Amino acid sequence: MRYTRAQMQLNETILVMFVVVLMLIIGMIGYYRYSAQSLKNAGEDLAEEEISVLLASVTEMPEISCSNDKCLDMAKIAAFSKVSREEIQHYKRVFGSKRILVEVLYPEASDQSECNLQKYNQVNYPENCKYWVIFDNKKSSFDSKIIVSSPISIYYPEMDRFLIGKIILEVYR
Amino acid sequence: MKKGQTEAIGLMAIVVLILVIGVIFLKFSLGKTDLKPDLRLNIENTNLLRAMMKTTINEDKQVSEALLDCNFDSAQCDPAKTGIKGILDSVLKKNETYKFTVTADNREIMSLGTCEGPGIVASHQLSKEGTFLEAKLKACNE
Repeated sequence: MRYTRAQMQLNETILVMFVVVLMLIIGMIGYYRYSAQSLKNAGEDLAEEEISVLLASVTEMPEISCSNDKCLDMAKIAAFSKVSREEIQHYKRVFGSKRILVEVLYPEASDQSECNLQKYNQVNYPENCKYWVIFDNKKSSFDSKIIVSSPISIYYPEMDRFLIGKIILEVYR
Repeated sequence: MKKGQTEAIGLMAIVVLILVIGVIFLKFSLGKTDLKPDLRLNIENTNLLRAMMKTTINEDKQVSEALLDCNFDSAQCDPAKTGIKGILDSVLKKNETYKFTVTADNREIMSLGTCEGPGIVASHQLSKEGTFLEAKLKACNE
């Protein structure tokens, strides 16, 4: 079968259009993927910024912070860990799906377990436990978990001593 | 110039244009540097130094008081060094090294740690009876 000149030109045009459309589709897919990734990154950046701001504001909360110094008061932390469980609905509205911990780093505790009011009232406190869970609203199923922490001074009024610890914020999404 | 040659030149021009656009796009997309990890490390380091200065060590003294005493009486430096080393060894992660220095009027009165490379530096000023001390903590990731 022989093609006429017009048929050849028509085929050529169709081929060129096909290539151009293919390039456009590849470009659109590339642009869409790039935009989606940018949006995802922007979302993660915003979430991290929000968490950092929340972490800073948690350390300033009158429920747990020292009255006239930049530190956490251990007596208040012990009390707040109980109150936050009793008033869980209120604090869920404040913090959302998060878990907030205060961990004592120095001196290192001999027991690595969670602290509670019973342990707090024992003679060997603070040696007998390592960390306080001051708020716990952990999601049962979550896509991602972001952990942000910062060192902080912890005041023990019963000993009149400052120790060093870390406040940890776990965010579930 | 023949029609075929003109078309070939046009095609070349389009290819060159696409290449130039691609190179510019790559330059912008790869050129972005994320400053946030450094910023976060800086905040953490500053918070650590500030918290450490308040921490009570031997003889019910805070680190800041122990450093001021060390400046006035060098015999007081060793207990302060032991306390500070204990704190930093407990608080910093296993892959982190540090360099802690204290200077008074440009004279180094204490130096601890091995971190010599680039790192995030936090500083804290102390003063007592007209003497100013500057404590610097540099944390390095190995």
